[in-house]
Amino acid sequence: MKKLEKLIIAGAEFHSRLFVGTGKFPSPQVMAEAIEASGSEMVTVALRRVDVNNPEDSTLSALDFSKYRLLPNTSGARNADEAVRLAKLSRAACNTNWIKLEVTPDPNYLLPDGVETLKAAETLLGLGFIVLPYINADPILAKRLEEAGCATVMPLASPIGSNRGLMTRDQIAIIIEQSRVPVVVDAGLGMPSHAAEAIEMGADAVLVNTAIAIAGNPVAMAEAFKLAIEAAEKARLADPAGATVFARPSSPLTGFLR
Amino acid sequence: MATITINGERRNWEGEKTLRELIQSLNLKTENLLIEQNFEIVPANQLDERMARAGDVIEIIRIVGGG
Repeated sequence: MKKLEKLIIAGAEFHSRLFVGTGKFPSPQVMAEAIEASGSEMVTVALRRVDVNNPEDSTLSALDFSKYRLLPNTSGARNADEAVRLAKLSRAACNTNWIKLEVTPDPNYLLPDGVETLKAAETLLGLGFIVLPYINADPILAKRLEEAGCATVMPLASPIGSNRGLMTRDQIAIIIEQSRVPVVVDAGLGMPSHAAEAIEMGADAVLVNTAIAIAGNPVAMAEAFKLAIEAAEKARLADPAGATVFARPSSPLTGFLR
Repeated sequence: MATITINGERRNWEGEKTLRELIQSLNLKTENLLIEQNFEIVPANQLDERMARAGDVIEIIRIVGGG
């Protein structure tokens, strides 16, 4: 099993391996409480047009921006050009050069376009961005993005918001084995056990939004994810015994009564 | 009739307004908004200098929750 190392992304150290998305919470207050309960130090946000005919939007009003690193995303981008445009807007709006790069032309599964993602990453890296790309669990693409200079790779567990867990487990294992940048498993983690499994496998962090935000009790679910991830970290530090094909008796095999 | 496009919607446009006046005329506060004029980001301290003109494509953007 991969040794648990400090989580450092582009020189910034994180004590929590849980990053949380800010979408879809039932209220700004619940969102703020849930993020607090998650122990997360980095939250993702998005950029959208103001609805000029209905301008009230207090989604993020309860969030204390000084407590969290903001990771704006390029959600909504369907190609590299749109992603670069969104990234520039995000940099100006959020006052950060960190960007979660996502290019998702397919509206049904929101699967990322690897070709456009690599193209956008190269442009953004040239512009001085810290790029954290959301990708399908493709080890070759992950390598290409790492070589281009991305700060992490963020392979998906299953489609965004699907809560189906680690459907891409074997591919993610290869990414973890080969990656020299932190691997953040993003999208599709539906239960704390999924997040724990990702960390136990050797992932450096996970990003969760939907599973927390649309739970009946988002604050409790955020804490559940936090605890699961801490348990997985502890397990990695405990030097796991590993699996075998045959049984290994737990009780002594000598000194029977007969 | 001259028009201006704001967040994808074409509107009739007459006269001259600064970008800040334009935003205020839409009953929006300029805080926490980002303005893009003809695909160029407008720094917040230039909203009083930059003029909105007929034919402009204006985007008014804010940070929202997202994953």
